[in-house]
Amino acid sequence: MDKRNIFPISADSKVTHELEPRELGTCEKERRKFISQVLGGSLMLMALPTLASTLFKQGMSEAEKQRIKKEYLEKYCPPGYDPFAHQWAYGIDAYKCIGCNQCMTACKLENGLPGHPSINNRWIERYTKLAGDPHVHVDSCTEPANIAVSDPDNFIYRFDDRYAEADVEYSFFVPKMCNHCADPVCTQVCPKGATFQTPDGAVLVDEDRCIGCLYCKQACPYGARYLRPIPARPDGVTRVAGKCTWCWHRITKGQEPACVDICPKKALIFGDLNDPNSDISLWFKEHGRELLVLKGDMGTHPSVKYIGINEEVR
Amino acid sequence: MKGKNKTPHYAVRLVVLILIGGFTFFVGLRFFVPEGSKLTGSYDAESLLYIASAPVEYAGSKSCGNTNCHESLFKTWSEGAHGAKEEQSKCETCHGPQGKHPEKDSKLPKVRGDGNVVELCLTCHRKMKARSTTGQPQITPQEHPYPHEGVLICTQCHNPHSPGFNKPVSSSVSSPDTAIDPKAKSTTTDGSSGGESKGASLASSCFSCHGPKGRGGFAPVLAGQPYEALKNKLIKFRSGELKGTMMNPVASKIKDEEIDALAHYFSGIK
Amino acid sequence: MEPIHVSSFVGYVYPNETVIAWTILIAVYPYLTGLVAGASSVSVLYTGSGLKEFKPVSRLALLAAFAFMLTVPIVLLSHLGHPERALGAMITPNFSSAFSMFGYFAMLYSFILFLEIWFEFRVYNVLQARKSSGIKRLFYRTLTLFDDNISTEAQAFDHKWLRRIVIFSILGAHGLHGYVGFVFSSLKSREWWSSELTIVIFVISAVVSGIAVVMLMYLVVSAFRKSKVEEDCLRGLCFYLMIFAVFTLFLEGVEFVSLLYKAKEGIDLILEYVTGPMFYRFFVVQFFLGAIVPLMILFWIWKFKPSGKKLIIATSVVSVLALIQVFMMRYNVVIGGQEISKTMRGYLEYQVPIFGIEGALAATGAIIFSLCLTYVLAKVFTIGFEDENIVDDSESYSTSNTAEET
Repeated sequence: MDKRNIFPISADSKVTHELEPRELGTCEKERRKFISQVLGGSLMLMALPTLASTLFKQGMSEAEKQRIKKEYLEKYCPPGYDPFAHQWAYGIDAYKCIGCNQCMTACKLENGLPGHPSINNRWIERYTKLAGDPHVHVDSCTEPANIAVSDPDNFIYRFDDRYAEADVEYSFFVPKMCNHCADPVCTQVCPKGATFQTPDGAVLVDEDRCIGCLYCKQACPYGARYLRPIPARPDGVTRVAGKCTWCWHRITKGQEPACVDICPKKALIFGDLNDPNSDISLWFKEHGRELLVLKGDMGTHPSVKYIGINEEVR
Repeated sequence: MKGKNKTPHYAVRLVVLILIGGFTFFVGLRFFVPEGSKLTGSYDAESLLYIASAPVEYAGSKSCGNTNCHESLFKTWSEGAHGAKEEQSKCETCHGPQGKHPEKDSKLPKVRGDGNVVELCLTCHRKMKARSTTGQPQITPQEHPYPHEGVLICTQCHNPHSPGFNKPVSSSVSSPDTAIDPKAKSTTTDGSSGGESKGASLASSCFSCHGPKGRGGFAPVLAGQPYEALKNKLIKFRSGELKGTMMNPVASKIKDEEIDALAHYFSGIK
Repeated sequence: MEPIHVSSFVGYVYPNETVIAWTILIAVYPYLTGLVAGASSVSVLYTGSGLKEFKPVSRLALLAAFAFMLTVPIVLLSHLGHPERALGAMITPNFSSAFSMFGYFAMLYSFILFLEIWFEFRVYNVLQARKSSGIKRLFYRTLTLFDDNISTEAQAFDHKWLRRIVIFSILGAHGLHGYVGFVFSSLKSREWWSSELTIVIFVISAVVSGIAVVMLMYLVVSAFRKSKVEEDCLRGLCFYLMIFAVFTLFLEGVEFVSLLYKAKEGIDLILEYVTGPMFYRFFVVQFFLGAIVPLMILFWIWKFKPSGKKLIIATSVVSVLALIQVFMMRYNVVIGGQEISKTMRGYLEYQVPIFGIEGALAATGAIIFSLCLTYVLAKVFTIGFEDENIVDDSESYSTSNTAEET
């Protein structure tokens, strides 16, 4: 065999023997056997996940659960805060919203977001129906006309007054944000468990473990996620998924989220559903029949509920 | 390798290598599971502490009122239109986040963002089709009784901490900053007595355009003008006989005796 | 702050959507796994099914599959925000995620593929080790695990185990690629992705791209080495290519028609989108140029059996077009899915940047890298069969009993 000739095509093969063990499969019977083996193998592969799931599923005793809960509370929860004792919820009154974008500014400054209008935890949309036009027009902070009257470098966002002269049938503002779903898609798809739901209902991101694959951004039906271009705080990390945390660092200290605190119209309501006298419990009770969620057909069960929106909002 | 049905050496070696490699890899992985993840079974609970330790930027209005620094302003705010109602404009709505203010900066920034006060007010008070008409007053800048966008700023006529009509607070065009200084308000309203004091207090709302004591503003000088001329002009502005200036909407609200007092006041200034 | 690549949009899209998250590298990723699945299918035509006419390409296909498979993690990792943390997905996998098992699965499959190569080239490695000296000898000795047993019995043993491994290799290849399809189709938030047919289309079109790439490589290698091209092999590949191309076209058509016919919310938008910015990419390149034109050529080859230069030119054109079609399909799935807004009120217009890690150059580089890797593997191992039918009786035991199993 020529040592240098390591690139020969089959025609160059010099040695021929009677024995060709590799070509035993040429006969029809062999081929059928091979195909049935492939089918059998695929059945085995299909059985694997079932097997694996039964192996990984472990029953846990009640005492063990209590121990884990105690350790969780003592070691990992902020002092004085019991996430099991709260069930946070958020209400948005679109009747009251005046589109001042103060919540967006407050959110960005509170959570260390860049001024860029394409990176948001929350934003406001304007739905406008013009007389004689079957389509509803929607715009928000990324609309070039709105950017023109805004000042993103100074965290100031405004809506332009484009419908001042138009014959408007109806028009309203809708604040949008992460819905902190009870059955979040983002936590379902995160390959690593870097985004998760706390016992109090907030959906958070562990920026020390996020790999920045953005599968969660693809999965979120509400477009509430983004890739962080700047760190949230001096010791933070870039290029990880970011999202609304309901200002978890505030609510664990007994404060409201920055957006709720800043809203000059009290259009945003936040509170604990476990407390029957909290703002949100009273508000839910008052508006029980009007409460709506966004994209209910996704089966995500949002914790953010709206009043004053119509079917065009999604 | 003696028996012919025995597995060849290389196959045994391969299997051993696979077993060792696989075992090392999977057991090795277990060493890297964070403590917090072992507890929750999924996410690292350690991150909760990190997330909760983020600095609070927006301290809330109460923290401004609880200190001795801004008591009087806080009182003005909490009794005025911006603070008395349930729908409050908070301190930080206009001033920006102040969570680090007491420790870090000694000076309170005037307003958030680029410092444009008119645009800041219009953020909420500009009339827009999508804005519900209830609640806060909404204006179209071009039609506002004092159509002074670009000329005047809102805080010269309205106290931002306790806004409302007929509460002129400023006597100076050039320095809007004094508008939020409650002392400036008291100096303008104090002064002489009787008929002249009525004229003086009314006239203070003219100063923003015509200058303090009717002199030195961008609008025509009023000080020392003849009593009759002043009176006739105001009446003509009110009736609409003279048109096209910003005096029309201003004069439309002035009563006869007020015109008299104003004309007296300005003609009396030497 | 890092530069933010914002796409322009028509209608209304969520603000965060204007930054496209998965760029051209993620389009390259299913393309490469598709090539893996396709190339290993070609290799299995001979090693598994024993179809003799595919012998000239079987080893080439196997090595190409391995080279593509080695490139997949590089592409995937270079797109991550934090590639250094990627191993964490294997440390604490979130079992509910369609993506969490990918690391394990890809590793397992790479390993199976490696085993297949190991058994396939064991005799060759032994021969190389015997011939060479120094570091090269050490390298081949290590590869053979310091055992140069190539007796007929050992060869029969290899063959027996190779057949078993091939079964899992072919299942793994299509399983892996179907899994990649599931990564996209399992997302309910995107209408363009969440079709059950996506997985099937992915797998079938993978075979198309695999056959095409192997055919092209075979032609290039033959031209480069000025060796004879086996026309039976080319015709056979063309026949399978035709069958799978017909299936792909059919399934893609069915998917698109059913999307139109079901006419769920946002269908106006999708129609506006596919007839607007996507028209050339979707109808002209993917359907007409990439599917219908090669099908016509393939039909011509099948019906009229051309030979010589004609066949070579026709198959080159077909394979290039088929490769373009499948890449365009991956691009249209990955980028197209993100360009259609979740608001169902607007769409984005993504411009692929030339430079940078998310740019067209990086994507081309990844594909060229995989081709270079194939070349290196072909140098280390071989695409010929010079190690075939070696009778080595240097070992003490008898060779009278040849392989009667299998």
